[in-house]
Amino acid sequence: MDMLKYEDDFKAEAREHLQIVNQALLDLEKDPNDLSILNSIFRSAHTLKSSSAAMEYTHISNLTHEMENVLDVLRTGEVSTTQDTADILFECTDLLEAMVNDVSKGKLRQTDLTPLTEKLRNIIQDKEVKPSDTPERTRSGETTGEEVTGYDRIDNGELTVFDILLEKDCALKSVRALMILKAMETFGKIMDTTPARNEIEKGQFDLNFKISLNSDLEPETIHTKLKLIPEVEKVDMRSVQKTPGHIPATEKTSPPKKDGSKAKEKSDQIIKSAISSKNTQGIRVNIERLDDLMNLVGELVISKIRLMQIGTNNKVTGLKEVLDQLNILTTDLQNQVMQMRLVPVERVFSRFPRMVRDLSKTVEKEIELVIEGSDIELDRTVLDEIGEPLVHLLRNCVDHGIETPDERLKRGKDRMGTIKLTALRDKQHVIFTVVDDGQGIDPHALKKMSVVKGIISAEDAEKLSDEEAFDLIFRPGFSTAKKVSNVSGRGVGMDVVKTKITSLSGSIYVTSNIGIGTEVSLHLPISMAIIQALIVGLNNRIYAIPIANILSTIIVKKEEMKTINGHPATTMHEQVLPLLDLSYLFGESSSERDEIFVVVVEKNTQMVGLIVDSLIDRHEIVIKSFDNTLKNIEGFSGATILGDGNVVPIIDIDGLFNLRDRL
Amino acid sequence: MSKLNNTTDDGMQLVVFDLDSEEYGVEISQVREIIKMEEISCIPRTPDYIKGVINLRGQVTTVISLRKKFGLMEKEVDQNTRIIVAEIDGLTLGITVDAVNEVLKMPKKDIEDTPAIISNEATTKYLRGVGKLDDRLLILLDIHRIMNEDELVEIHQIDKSQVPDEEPESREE
Repeated sequence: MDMLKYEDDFKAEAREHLQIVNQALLDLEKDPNDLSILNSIFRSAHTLKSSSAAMEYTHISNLTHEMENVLDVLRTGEVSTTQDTADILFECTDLLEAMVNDVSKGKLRQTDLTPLTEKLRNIIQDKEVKPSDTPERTRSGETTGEEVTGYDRIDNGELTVFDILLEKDCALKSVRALMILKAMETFGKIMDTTPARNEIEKGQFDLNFKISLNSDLEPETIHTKLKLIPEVEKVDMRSVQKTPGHIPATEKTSPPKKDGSKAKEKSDQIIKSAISSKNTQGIRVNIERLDDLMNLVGELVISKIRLMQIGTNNKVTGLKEVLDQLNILTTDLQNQVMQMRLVPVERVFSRFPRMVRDLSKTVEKEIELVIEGSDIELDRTVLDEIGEPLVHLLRNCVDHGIETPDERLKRGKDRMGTIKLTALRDKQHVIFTVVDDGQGIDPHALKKMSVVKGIISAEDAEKLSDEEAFDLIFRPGFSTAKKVSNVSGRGVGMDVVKTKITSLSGSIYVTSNIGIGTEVSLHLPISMAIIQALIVGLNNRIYAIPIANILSTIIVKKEEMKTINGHPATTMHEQVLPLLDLSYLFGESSSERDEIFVVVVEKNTQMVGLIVDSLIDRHEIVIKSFDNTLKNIEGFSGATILGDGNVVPIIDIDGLFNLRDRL
Repeated sequence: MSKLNNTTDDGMQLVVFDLDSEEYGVEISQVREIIKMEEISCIPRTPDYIKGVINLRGQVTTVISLRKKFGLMEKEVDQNTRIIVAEIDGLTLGITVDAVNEVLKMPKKDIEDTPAIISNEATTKYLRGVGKLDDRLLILLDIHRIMNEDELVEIHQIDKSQVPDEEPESREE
């Protein structure tokens, strides 16, 4: 039996559920009496218990089981949720997370659960409430009582057909079935199964399957043992005459579906499972598969274009209609695949509330984290990189930025400090800002500190403006914290952030007001995001200009063209608009014409008109960065592939300006 | 970075192509595919040997002219012109060649270090040796070296001669 291949599935699922528990616990702290929150924690803990039991990770299942007990008394209101309870549950979540991360090649690191389980049990016992079993157990216990009495005694050595029904929310039912089959093999010889064994092992059954077993053991014993396997809802059994060939025949000719009452039972199950499955948010797909899919769609588009070419050359009745339809379908398909690669930044943001909560507790501060823009979507590749810098920034806010409650009161602020984390799409960048309403950074203190630490000389420090002084915090070995805490303050944080952001070709800005707060913003390029772009023509070639950079497009008549210091310019809304001839910039000759098209773009509040030959279309495009040969080329941020398969360079306004300055 | 050692005594499998009436070979493991010449989108302000980018099934792939890279005259595209798409360590690069002839196996013993007979010094750094095959000589190209070369230096050294003679001032009226 190969359990290892399920390991990744298990880990991914477990992490998802732990994330839910984490979030729910945070909510629970705010509203301890909300039953729906407790229920959602319970559901996740229960699923985790089931799947870890299926994988035989007993430590995880044991701990989740203990958690369930506590959650259950909380749900019934026998014990009310206190801060301590929440803390202990958080602790459990952390330990579970650690254990899940440690799972590797079917092995689980041995962890001592006793201290935590004792804490959990104390929650229940302190209130003198007997630990109650989980409802699931109770329920299955009841059904056992009814079912067990119903069957006849079967003589040893005879064939017994076990009809095993799994719980409807059984996680990884194929694994569960495998374990049952494995267990059965220890009891006797499996003569037949319905459906076929390989189908069962693949999970190709609804919730029940049948095993014909030839065993010397008492059927009751087997029944009891089967019932001990988690997630087995019900076991029916009956003896059959040991006539080879007969059993499979009867079993196969009377599958459960044909049985009236069974069929109803089954359809009920299907409906129930259909209802419960509405919580499923999606499936996991390897990012490489999405890349492959994207490339396949690209190939499809090219084939489509060829087909359309053939269609226009050869008149075939009805072909045009089909081709038009094909055209729409491929375009939709392409868009869908592009969208699939985007992930909301929430993926990264979701772990921050818990982190800020824990950090602020360790430094005895009261801090609220406000998150905005978690629905902003970013390509997965950028998103994976942004987590670490943001953690550093938030840690800095907690440790250095926000004051202690007493200090804050003294300064006439709220006891509770606020950190605001925002994601924003702007022009060609995604901007993350972290703002706190703490004590701010004192540029003079920064300078003094840097001189003391030998980062700069006293003379150089004198010359720095306040803004330049803020940049000192990015120097290696800098830290203004008076004491080193375990939160931050080892003088590496901001240095690391700067390095990371630079490596992503982003930039970082700090502004701060003493006593009011600090704002740090990270500007990151969108490496593979979908953007709106204007497609323009120039010297028989086409280029894309991101709409975000464009203020407007105008047509300038020849007689409206002027020069300023020898540079072309015109006026727009009574204002001088310097013009930039893209042909000239790209080292090509430009043609004379009576009317020229100008795309007005903006960079750092500076307006410039780009002279192009024609305005073609407005498109949603996917930025594809150049490979290493062209990576650092200036003036272009990458290329995109249009619907007709053409590769079109995307103009990068910043780079364009640099290019102009160099010429 | 030579993969010569990895090849068995059976020899190396080489894709043989023509460039300016000389025959070159490139190890087949470096070649992802060979495609016919297709429309190449130019990227302005790049070194002249960079022809531009193509859409290789949804992937934007850079194409360079091996003739230009080797300081040879560009030849007009004809029906024999091919783009050899190389893929090494996840990086791809297209290279235009005059024609692709065959794939052959060359015993290791027939491969010698690049001799002085190859006069063009600009090219030697991209070569890994010369193979003898009957009366033919195959120049063995290492595409990996072309890929890893620091192209940026050249990109940043755009000389003003590329700017059209026409000064911007002369265009305004």
